[in-house]
Amino acid sequence: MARITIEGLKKAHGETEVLRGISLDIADGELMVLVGPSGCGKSTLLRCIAGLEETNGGRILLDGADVTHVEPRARDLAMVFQSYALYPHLSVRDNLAFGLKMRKTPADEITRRVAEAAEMLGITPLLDRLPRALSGGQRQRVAMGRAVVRHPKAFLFDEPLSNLDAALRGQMRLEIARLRDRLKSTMVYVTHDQVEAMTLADRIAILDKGVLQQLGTPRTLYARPANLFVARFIGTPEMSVLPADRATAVGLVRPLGEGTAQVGVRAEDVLVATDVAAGVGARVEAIEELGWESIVHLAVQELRLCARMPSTQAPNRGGTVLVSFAPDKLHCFGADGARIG
Amino acid sequence: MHLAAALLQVVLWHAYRAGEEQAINQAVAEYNALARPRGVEVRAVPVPFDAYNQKRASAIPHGNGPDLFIASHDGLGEWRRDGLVAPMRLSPKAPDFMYGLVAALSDDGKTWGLPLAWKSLALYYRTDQLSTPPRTTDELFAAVQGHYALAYETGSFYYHAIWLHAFGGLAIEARIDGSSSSTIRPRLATREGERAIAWVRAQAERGRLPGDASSTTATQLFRDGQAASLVSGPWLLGELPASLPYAVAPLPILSETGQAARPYLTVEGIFLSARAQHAEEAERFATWLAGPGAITRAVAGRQLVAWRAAWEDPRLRGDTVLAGFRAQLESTISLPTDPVMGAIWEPAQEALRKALRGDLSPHDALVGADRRITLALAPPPPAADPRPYLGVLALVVVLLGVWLARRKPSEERGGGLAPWGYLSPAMICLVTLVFVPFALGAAMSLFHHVPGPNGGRFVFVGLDNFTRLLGSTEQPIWDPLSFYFTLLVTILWTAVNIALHVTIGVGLALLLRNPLLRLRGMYRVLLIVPWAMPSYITALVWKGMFHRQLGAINALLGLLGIAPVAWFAHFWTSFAANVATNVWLGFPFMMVVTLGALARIPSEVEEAAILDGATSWQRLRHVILPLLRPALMPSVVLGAVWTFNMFNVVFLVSGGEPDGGTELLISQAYRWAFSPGRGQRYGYAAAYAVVIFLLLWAQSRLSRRLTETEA
Repeated sequence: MARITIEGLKKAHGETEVLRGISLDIADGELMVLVGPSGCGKSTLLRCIAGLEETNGGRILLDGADVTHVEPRARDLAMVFQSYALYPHLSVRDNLAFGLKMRKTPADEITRRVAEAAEMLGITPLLDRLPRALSGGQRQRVAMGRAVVRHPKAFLFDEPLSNLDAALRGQMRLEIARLRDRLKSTMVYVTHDQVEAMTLADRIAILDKGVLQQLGTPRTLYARPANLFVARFIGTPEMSVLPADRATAVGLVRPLGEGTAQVGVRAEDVLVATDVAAGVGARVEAIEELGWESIVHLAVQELRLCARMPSTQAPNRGGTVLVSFAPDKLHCFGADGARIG
Repeated sequence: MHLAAALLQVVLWHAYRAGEEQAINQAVAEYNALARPRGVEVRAVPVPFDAYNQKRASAIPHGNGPDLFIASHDGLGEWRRDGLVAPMRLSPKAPDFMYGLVAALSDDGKTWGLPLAWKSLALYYRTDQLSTPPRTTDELFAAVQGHYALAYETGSFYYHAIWLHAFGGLAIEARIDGSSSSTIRPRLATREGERAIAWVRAQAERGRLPGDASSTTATQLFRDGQAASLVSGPWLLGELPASLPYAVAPLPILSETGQAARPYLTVEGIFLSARAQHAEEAERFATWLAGPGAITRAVAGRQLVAWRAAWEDPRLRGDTVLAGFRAQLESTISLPTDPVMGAIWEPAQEALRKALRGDLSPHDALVGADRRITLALAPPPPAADPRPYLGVLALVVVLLGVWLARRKPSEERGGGLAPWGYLSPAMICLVTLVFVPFALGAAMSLFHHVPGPNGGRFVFVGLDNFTRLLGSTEQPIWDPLSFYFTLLVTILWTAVNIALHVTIGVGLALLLRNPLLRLRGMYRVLLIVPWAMPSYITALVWKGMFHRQLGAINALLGLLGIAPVAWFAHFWTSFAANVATNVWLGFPFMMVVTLGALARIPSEVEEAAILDGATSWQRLRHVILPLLRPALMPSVVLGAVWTFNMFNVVFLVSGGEPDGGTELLISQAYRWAFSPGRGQRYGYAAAYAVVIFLLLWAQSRLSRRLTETEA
C-alpha cells in the first residue's frame, strides 16, 4: 500500500527529452493508467518509478519518502512486463518463489504465499511446468502471480495485455479489475489502448511527447477533454473536429465565441434524420456496422463527420441525410488546441 | 635450357647456412668452371636443417635424393642400416687429412665418405683475464676469483661428456661390446659417470661455473666478462665481436684425474648416396671438394677443414683461433656412429639435468636413464600369428554384410543412382581423407616397425602394442613415459584449461556487456585477437616469454625482486607455462560464445530479477549463469576435445620438459613415432592414437547424453 508522488520528473536519452517535467500524485489504492501513443514516454515514466531508469531531474516519492536514487530492490515494487519476462529455466513454482527467496523469506512462508497466489490466479495445476510449456494467457497469469506473491507496495504494469489476442485480452482485463478489487493495492498501468485505459482506470494520465496532457477520471477525460490531443485520443470513434469558420459557414453550428478555432463533436452527439427539415444536408460516405450500433461517416461539403446510431436507424450508403448537433455538446478549442469553456 | 639438358648434373644436398653456405656455393662455382667443359655440372641444394634427416631418409630410397650429401658422420650407422649411403670406391689417403678424420668415416674395411671439416669443443678464454691458456682445471679456478671461471651449457650431455671422458669413463663407446650392433649395451650408470656429475655439481656449488646455464647464457656470461672461459665449438666464431679479447686453446686437464677433458669429434663428411645416378662424377667432385676445394671453405666459410695441405695456406697458418681448434683435435673422441647413440642422448640429458638440479642422486638418475635406454633398444616383439585376427575380421565383415542385407529392404529409398551421384564428391573426400587414413592408422597399431633399408619393415604383432601400452609393462606407472601418467596429466590439463577458459571467458563477456564501459567495441576486438592468431605463433611467443634468461616473464618477476624461475625445469612450472599459453589461446572462444548467449537473454528477464530484489551476484548466480549453461555446454564439450588434443602448445612451449612429464597423450604418441631415440615405434604410436580416439569417442557420447538429459 503506497502513495506515489512524482514531482517535475525529467528524463533524457542524450539529446532526446523523453519526459519533460511530469508531476503526478497517485493515491494509495488507486489504479492509475498512463496512456498515450507510442513514444510519449509512458513506459519510461513507469521504468523511472520502478527504478530501472535513472532520472535527470525531479523527484519520486513513495509514501512521502524520496526514492529517486534508491535502488529498485529497496523500493519494493512489483512489475509485470509486456513480454512476461518469466525465468525460462525455472518452474512456475520457482518463478513465483524467486523474489521471496532472494529476500530470504522463510520456506514455509514462501510455500503458503505461492499457494495463495496460485489459487488467486487459477494457476495451481501449472505449478510444476516450465514457462515454455505454457500458453500466452497462462504465462500472463504467472507473471501476475509473481508480482502478487511478493505483497509489494505497488504494482507496475507495462502493457501487460498487448501480446494477447483480442478475446483473451478482454478476459484478462476483467481478471486484472477483479484482482485489483481484491488486493486494493496501488497500481500503475501503462497502455496505449484507450479502451483498456477507460475500463480499468480510477484516473487516467494521458501523455504526449513527454508532457502530461490531462489527468482525470475516464469520464472527465471523455466529457471534458482539456485539449485537442486528448479529445482525439479518447473515445471510439474519434471525435469529429471541424474548423470553426467552415462549420459556421455551412450552417452546422451557430456563430461561436471569440477565439474558437476548432469545434469538436462526439459521434453520439451528431443527430441524423431523414424526415424532419431541421439540419444540414450530408452525404453518407460509408457505414461501419458493429451489430447493435453503426458508425456512419458523413460529408458536409468538404467537412467529414462521424455519427453513431442504432443499426436499425442507419441510412443507406450513398444517400443524403440531414445532420444537426445536440445542443451544449460541442467542444470548442482555441488556435493552440486548448479547450475553451 | 638446352645447355642445361646436355650437361650431366650432379646433385649435392647440404644444410649449410650463412657463411658456410656462401663458401660451398663459391666452391661449387669454382668446380663447375672446371667441369662444364667436360659436360658436368654440380648443383648445390640447401635443405633446412630441421628437415634434413627426414628428407634424406624418405627421398633416397625412392630415387628422388641427391648424388651426394654433406652431413655429420654420427648418422653413418643409421644410413648404412637404412641403405642410404654407398662406400667410396677410391679410398682416400689418410695422411692427406687431419688426424683421425678418415678413420672416423671408415668401418668394415671401407671408407664411407670423405672428410670435409671437423667440429669439436675447445676452450675459449678471455685474454684480458687469463694471460696464458690454463693447462689444468685447478690452474683455471685459481686464476679467477669473484666470478665464474668457466661457463658452458651444463645441461647438455654433449658438453658434459668432456668431464666424463676426463674421469676415464669412455662414455658410451667404451660400454659397447661385441661386434654386431644387436648386442650393443650402453651403460651410463658407471662410477666414472657418477663422479663426473658429482664433480660438476661441486664446482657449481663453489661458484666456479653456473650450474644450469643454457648456451645463450653461457655465451652472454663470457661476452660480459662474467665468465673467464667458455667451452664451445667453432660455430660460435661468427657470434663473437671482433673487439672481444679472446683466444682458443685445448680444454684443460682435469686436475682430479690428471687426464685431459676430451670433447667429442664430429666429422663433417661428403657422402655418396646409395642411389646416386652419376656415382663416378659425384665421387670426383667429392674428392675435389675435400681436397683442393678446402681452401675456399676454410677462408670463406671459416671451416676447420680436414685437408691437411690447406693448413699450409698463409691465410690459415696465421689464424690463432683456428690453431686452437687444431690443437684440440688430437685430444678428441670420435662421436660413435652406431644407431643406438640416438637412444642415448635424450635419457642421458634428462639424467644429467635431474642430477645437477639435485632432484636425484647421480647414481639414481643414471640408473633411470639406463632403464630408458634398454627399453628403447629392446628387441622387437615376436611376430604374432595373424590368422585368429583375420578370422575375427572376416566374422565382423560377414556380420556387417548380413546386417546391411537385412536392413536394406525395410527402408524405402527411391531415386536410383542419382543420390549416390550427388553424394559422391563428399564421399570420395571423406573416404580418402578420413576413412582410409583412419583404417591404416588403426591397422598399424597391430604392427611393429623394424628400421632398415627402404623404410624398414612392419611385423604383425597382434595386440602386443596395446598390452604394452595399457599394461604399462615397459615402465612403472608413475614414470613420465607410462601411458597412465600421461593420461593423468592430459586429464588434469583438460580440466584446468577448460575451467580457466570458461571462467575467464564468461567473466570478460560479463564485463564487456556493461553498457557503462567505454570503448567496448575495441576491447571486444582486442580480446578476440589471440584467437585469430595462428596458435603456433602464439605458442612460440609464449615460449619466448617463459625463457629463463631472456623471457619477459622473468624480467617482470625481476622487477618485483623475484629470482628468475627456470620454467621448464620443474613439472608444475612447466605445466603452468603450458596452461598459461593455452588459456591465452582458448578464452576468446568461450568469451565469444558467452557474448552471443548473453545477447539472447532478454533484458526484461534481468529487470524482472532486479525488481524481484535479486542482488547483482544473485542475478548472476540464479538467472544469468543458468541461462548461459545450455549455450555453453556444447562449447565446453568441443573445447575439451580440442584441449585434450592440443599438440601445438605442449610441443612448442614445454616440449614435454621436464623429462617428458608434461607431454599429453597426443604429443607422447608423436614422440614414440618420430622422436630420435625412441626407436621409430610407429605401431606403438598408432596404438596410442587408437586409445586416444576411443577415449574421446567415449567422452563425446557421455557428454552428449549429459546435455540431452539436461535439455
